[in-house]
Amino acid sequence: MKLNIEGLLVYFPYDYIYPEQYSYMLELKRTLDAKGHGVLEMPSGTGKTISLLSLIIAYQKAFPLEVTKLIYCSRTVPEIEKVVEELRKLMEFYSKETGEANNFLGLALSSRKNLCIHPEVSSLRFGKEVDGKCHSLTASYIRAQRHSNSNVPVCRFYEEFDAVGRQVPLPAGIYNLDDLKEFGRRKGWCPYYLARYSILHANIVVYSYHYLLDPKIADLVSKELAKKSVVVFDEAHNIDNVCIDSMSVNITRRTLDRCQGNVDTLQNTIQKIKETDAAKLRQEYRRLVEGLKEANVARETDVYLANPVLPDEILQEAVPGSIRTAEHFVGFMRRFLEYLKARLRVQHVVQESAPQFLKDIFEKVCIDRKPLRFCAERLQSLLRTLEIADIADFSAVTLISNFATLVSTYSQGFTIIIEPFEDRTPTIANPVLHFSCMDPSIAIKPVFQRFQSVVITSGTLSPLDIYPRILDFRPVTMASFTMTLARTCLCPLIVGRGNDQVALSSKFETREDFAVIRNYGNLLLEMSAIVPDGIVAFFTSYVYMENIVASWYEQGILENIQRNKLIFIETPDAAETSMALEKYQEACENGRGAILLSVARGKVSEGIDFVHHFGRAVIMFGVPYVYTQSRILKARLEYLRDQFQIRENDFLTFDAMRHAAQCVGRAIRGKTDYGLMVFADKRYARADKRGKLPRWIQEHITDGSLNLTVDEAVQLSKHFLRQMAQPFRQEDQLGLSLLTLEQLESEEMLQKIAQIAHQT
Amino acid sequence: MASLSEEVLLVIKKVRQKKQDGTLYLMAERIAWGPEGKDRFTVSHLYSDIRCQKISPDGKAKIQLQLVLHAGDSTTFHFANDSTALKDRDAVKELLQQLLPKFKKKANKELEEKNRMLQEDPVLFQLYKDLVVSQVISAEEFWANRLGGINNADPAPYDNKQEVGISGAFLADIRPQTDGCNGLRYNLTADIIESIFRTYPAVKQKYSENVPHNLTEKEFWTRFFQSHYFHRDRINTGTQDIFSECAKQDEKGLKSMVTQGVRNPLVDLMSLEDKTLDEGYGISTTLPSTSNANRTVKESSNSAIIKRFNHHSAMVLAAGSRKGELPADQASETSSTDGNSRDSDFFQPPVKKVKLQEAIEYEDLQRENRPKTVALNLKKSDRYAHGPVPLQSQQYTTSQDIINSVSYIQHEMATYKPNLTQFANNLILFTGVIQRSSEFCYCCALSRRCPHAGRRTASHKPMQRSVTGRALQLSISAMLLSNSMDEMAPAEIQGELKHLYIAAGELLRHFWSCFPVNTPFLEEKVTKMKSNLERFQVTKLRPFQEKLQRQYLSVNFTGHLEDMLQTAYSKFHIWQTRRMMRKT
Repeated sequence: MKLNIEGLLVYFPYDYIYPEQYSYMLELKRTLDAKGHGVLEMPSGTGKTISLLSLIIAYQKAFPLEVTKLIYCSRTVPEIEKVVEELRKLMEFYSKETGEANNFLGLALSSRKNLCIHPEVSSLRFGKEVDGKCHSLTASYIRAQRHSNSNVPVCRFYEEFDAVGRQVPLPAGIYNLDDLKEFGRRKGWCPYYLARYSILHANIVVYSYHYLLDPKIADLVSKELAKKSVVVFDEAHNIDNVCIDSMSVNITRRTLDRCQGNVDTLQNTIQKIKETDAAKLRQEYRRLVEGLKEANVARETDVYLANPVLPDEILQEAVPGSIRTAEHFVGFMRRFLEYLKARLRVQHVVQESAPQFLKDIFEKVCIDRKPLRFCAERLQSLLRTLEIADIADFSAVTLISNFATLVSTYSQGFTIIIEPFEDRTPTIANPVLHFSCMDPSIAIKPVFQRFQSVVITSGTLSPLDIYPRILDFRPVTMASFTMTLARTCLCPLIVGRGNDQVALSSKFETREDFAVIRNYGNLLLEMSAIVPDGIVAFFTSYVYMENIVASWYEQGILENIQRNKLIFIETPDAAETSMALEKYQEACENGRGAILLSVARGKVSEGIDFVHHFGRAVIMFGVPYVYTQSRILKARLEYLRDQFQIRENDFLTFDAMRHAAQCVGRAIRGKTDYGLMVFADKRYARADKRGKLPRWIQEHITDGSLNLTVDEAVQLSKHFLRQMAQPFRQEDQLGLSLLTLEQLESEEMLQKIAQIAHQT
Repeated sequence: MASLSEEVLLVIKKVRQKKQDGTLYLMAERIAWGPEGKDRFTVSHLYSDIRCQKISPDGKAKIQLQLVLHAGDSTTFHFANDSTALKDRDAVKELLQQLLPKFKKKANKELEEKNRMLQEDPVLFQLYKDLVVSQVISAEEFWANRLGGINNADPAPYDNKQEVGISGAFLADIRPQTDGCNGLRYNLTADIIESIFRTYPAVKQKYSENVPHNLTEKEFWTRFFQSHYFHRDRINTGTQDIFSECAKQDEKGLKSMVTQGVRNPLVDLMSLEDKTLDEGYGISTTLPSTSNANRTVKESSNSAIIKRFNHHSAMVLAAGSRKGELPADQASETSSTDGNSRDSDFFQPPVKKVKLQEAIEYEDLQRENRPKTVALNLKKSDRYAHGPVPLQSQQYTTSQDIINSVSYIQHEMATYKPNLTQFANNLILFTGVIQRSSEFCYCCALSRRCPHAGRRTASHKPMQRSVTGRALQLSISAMLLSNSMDEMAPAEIQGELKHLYIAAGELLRHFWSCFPVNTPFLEEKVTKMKSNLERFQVTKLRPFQEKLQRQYLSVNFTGHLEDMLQTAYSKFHIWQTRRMMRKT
């Protein structure tokens, strides 16, 4: 259907539309009009992606000069592929309706592992191996060597791409990962480099967060993307953690040992080169005197996305003299390394800020702040000059140099914690230096600054106001949409007591309490008897799950559950869990029914959807608080309190509730879907917890379902399931939660829709 | 009866039966008892007739052994030799224990099969009641070509039947009970053993390796329950435990399952992340060290439980669907033998594409695009009821008429224009027809079978065609009839009529399947079948008609049935006259 969104003609590739989709598009358009940033929460399964794509592409078509590119960031590879498929559907609809051939280029970009077509390289199993192998075949000096010595192996796909691929742009169309590979095979071009090159002129780019947020990758891939782009972060409820992860560094003794090896290799290579090709080193020296001017010019003219690891100031300066020659630099690194080793020899936990660390290093080994800041750049230059084939081998020294640059650049937002041993095993020395980022805004700042509109969206972003605070930006629109429903297809229940009136809670004091564990088991057992097909149960942590499973086994609860359904359990091993997941789905599919025991914050809770019969009930055992005894977390909480005035408890609850919401939200993937959401912890009944759930879940929690016993919950569930199992037809939804174009245009409906968006 | 060629396995003297002393013989295929001093057996049972044996509990004064037969009655033997009674009894018991299962399978298979068919198919059961129990035909006749179909002709439809899966909790069902004196009792049934074997092939292998030679069955299972293997939370498997190997094998199986990977890319957690952080970056990367050394025993036993549960569930699932899985397994094998993942790329996309499409689909946003149905619009239902009937009804011997009328219908259908305005009115009528027709399809299909039977002889063809046409036409009229019936007859009458139809259909099927009559056996059968039909008409149809007449005078519900019978009779007459002619 064709929609009119405040004067913008939007093609929407379906015959019907959900009211909230319309409302969502309205808000989105306002965000784009204002050239500002937005935070939008809309329940999963209400067609968020297609609404986003439809509106932004319509906008791009209408105002090609205002918005030149859509950068769509998602989290997992399947998510990325789904977005591209939806995009394809939309584009097909466009060409069907307008009769014109599609002139948009949209493509997905992923790591080499998912795109490589080289027969040997692509058969490697791990991403890192693929990257390393690829680099050893495509690095510029390897290819230069090939000119003199044709025995040096190179990648023919890359050669072919390099020779001809750049001249002809990728023809318009929508390319998913498989399409790129197919295209690459046909042409004999490397799909990865083709995609990386093509994102510069593509209209729509779909890739993972890391390509924008991780400075190490963003610098390579996304540096030159146009300023007039719209950036969308989908499934962004965890974006702060992604930011923090990308800026944090851990240094163990093993890292240092490996780094030592790297430095030795560097030293030897320098010696060798000095004997054979001293001119090369001199040339490098000259380049360094010139400084990083090029990069500076580019950044000033606004061509590049800023790299948070490469702060503005150092671009204006030349590399300091003390690390300019290769030998001096290697010596410098040695000194730094020795210092770190000394620091790791502590017997007690040390926590200090970056300035303290710098002061100490200056006092102990006379290393200045200034050369430290240039460490990362200087190392990159050296590695290029020395023609190091396998960058992967030098990951340790790269890590150390990145650490050096970061620690000397940011005086705020980071903390250094040195732990001589793990808390659980105080007798085993395993010193770790955590350099942890506490301020997610550092990594995402360049994105907000550079691109004109950044939209942060997810099914669970409540409470909305916390994201602008912790990411430090000013959104022009913030809205939360509910799911309009013709029938209440979700049933949140808070089970606070067992049948014996024992309070159910996963809080630390009652963790080992057999009564609680037994009642939890009872809940699962009773549910397994009444819920058809699949049940997913989430625990607060892996250790907790292990303990509970063991005592359920001892008490014979699991055996009773097995009478009703098969049991599958998440393990720390991803491959094993994948198998369990597939078997779980198989068991749901063939009607036997199954239970999946899983962990909040685990991979399953973040990336796997349990649509329809794969998840008729989700049980959340306990409140998934993060492990609060960790020093890193404590430091972060402190920082949040001091810098953003967010109280520790508020943040912890917010974090726990967003994960709980993620877990239970896995079951509802659309309006035709239905599922129970059982929150098995009495703490959920409190207003401060409940209030932090997304609105679309919250509004279905009635006072009557706040502190149920297991039996009561079972009764309510039975009733709910029986109702939901009745046939549900399109006609039932029409006019309520599903609109035709005519219905949408009626005055009355527009008024109703205006109320859907919950302005904050 | 006592043929000497029979091999006698065991002879026990001084066995009493019905207070009479005698000798018990166990032979290769039967068990027999003869009173003392006589050379004939008064009791003789084939092993295959014996359902089970029961023995008197230890410590009872009388040492007895009872044989329960399938037929329901039982025979009790009393071992009267004072000194060796117990030993005698046990010898018989042991031998029977070995012999009975062998025969059980063979004999019971057929009986079970019949039983199962009757239980599963209520229609068949009704038919059985109508025909066999009321002695219209004998049981053998009833089963004659049914079982034939099962045993050899086309086993396909029965193989497609879903195999019964295994209960996930079969191990839970053998929960031990304390027997009061420091021991545990495990209840093990044949079903459970079967389940264990199907789920854990390794145990089955152990069983077949050890049981007859090294261990008795009881010992085997005792060891099984004592083993660490059975108790999943124990990890330190001793070396002398015969099941430690099974555990290892399971481990291997699990590993191979894991390395095989998953077919659905959307659940593959390995390739979920697009770009993992490099080692050393990130805050949460320092997992509690995974080396097993510093894990406590409890923790590793916990994780062993988890692994076992996953494995158990996977095995149970696999045991349930092993047959269906085969082709898929082979497919994955071919892809995996090709080795590198590049090749598997070529296998992946279809699954992946489908899964992706499924994932992005919003079925409620799309217009439903089911094909629109058009209602049947009947102006003259009686014309429709009689179909293309040639004017000079009966006895047409050429197929030309049929062909003509068929082509006429085809022409009619081609030029037919549906009148959509009457859509709604006729919809009701139409659905009625559809409902009924599904029931009568059965009859229709049955009566249509007759040409199949006679396909071999070309000379019969025209006639068969006419029969087919007739049958078709009859069944159509039956549909119409049933439609009108809905409104006029009470459910009870309807039900009765339905049974009559089914019974008649069955008989007719038998009748028609005799044609062409080319063996003396078939000749005999066809005559018998005809008399069966007549008997059916007299004992079943007539009373029903009378009953109808008492209540409803107007509609002739049974007309169609009689038509069918008439057709059969006339066919029989034709055949008989021909035979007479040939004979003379």
